[in-house]
Amino acid sequence: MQLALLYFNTIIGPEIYFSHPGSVLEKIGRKMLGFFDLDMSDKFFEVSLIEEDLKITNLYFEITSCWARGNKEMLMLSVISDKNLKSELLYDTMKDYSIKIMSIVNLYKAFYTKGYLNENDLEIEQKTKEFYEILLECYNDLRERLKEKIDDEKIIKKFKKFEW
Amino acid sequence: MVINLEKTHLLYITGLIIISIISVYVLIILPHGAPVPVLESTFFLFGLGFNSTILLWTIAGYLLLRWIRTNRKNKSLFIWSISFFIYSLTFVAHIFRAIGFPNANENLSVYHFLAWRWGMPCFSAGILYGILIILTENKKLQKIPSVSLLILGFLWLIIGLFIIPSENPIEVTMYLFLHTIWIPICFTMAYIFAYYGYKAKEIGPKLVGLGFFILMVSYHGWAPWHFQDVVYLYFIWYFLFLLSLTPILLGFVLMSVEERH
Repeated sequence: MQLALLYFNTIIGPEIYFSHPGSVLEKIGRKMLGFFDLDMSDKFFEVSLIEEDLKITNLYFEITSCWARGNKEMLMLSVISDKNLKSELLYDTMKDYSIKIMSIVNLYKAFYTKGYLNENDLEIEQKTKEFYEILLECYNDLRERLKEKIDDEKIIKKFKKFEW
Repeated sequence: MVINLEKTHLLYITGLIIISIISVYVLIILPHGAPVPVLESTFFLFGLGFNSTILLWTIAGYLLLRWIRTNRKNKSLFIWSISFFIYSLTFVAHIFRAIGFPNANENLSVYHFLAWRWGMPCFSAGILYGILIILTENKKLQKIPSVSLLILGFLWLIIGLFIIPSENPIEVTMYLFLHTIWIPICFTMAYIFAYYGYKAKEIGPKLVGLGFFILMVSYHGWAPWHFQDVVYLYFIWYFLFLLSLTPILLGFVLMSVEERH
């Protein structure tokens, strides 16, 4: 399982801001960036990559921003996992973390580390660090909860494979 | 309209007429029931044995019915059905013992004990085999523990009844069998069903688990209370055993209902 956070960079378009553990494979990353162009009413959706045997579960959300066009940053939290994983298992945790991210004051500054604007703002480094910590925590939490839920599913699957 | 109602509820009206005839007879004649002297001192054993047998047969029958209704795919249902049926033989013996058949008394000799109790190791091995079929697809893991348990169960019966020198070989056998096979197996079943029920958020498996737990507790009462001076308390544990069969039956019924919903 891999966690990624994508955002819409005002200058270069969709970009992978964070991924853990390791970087997202280029081929998969390209596909993920394309999700931003999809006009979907649902904010929580999954995409199956048949050739790669993978599933990408995504939660789109926005945070307020004083520096972005339209005063909002468009973000997408994505989980790259085995194709058999039920994406519903991830929803609660992803939702909780999106709310957590939305509630951090001035978090948008974390997206401006490359000196596009206001590079002298002291809060940029602090918010970037804070954001990375939350995302790592989100990854660990997802992995733990998933492990628990997969264990729960095991016994249920064993009984449910038969009719009673 | 009236004619229709009469036709629809003919059975009810017939029932009421029969009840009325009986009631009139009872109220006028005040009949005194015929005595059954053989049951004077064994009525409790008869009642317990009879109810246990009926409940065990109901569980066995229900499991068999579900096995047939589900296209005979769930082998565990069939194995448990046979296991519960075999287990009921002990209680059938209690009924016959209560109505005066000396050969139905399992305590008459070690041979009588073996004849009426061989179902218990079969039941233990059967329920273990049934749950292992669910838990693993590995045939060896399904069969080896179950067959080992069956052999061990019969070994305890043979060693306890015929080999270990004792004034009361039946007692030795029961101690060995209950505390090394029966109780741990009942606890295992209780745990697995309760665990599944908790994880699946279903009441049926939890009830089956509860039933097996009470069953285990009731057999814990055997060792301290089987002695002659306190044997009346053994019958209280017997009542508890009888009670344990209800959640097992209800649990299995609910499992199929919950599956459909």
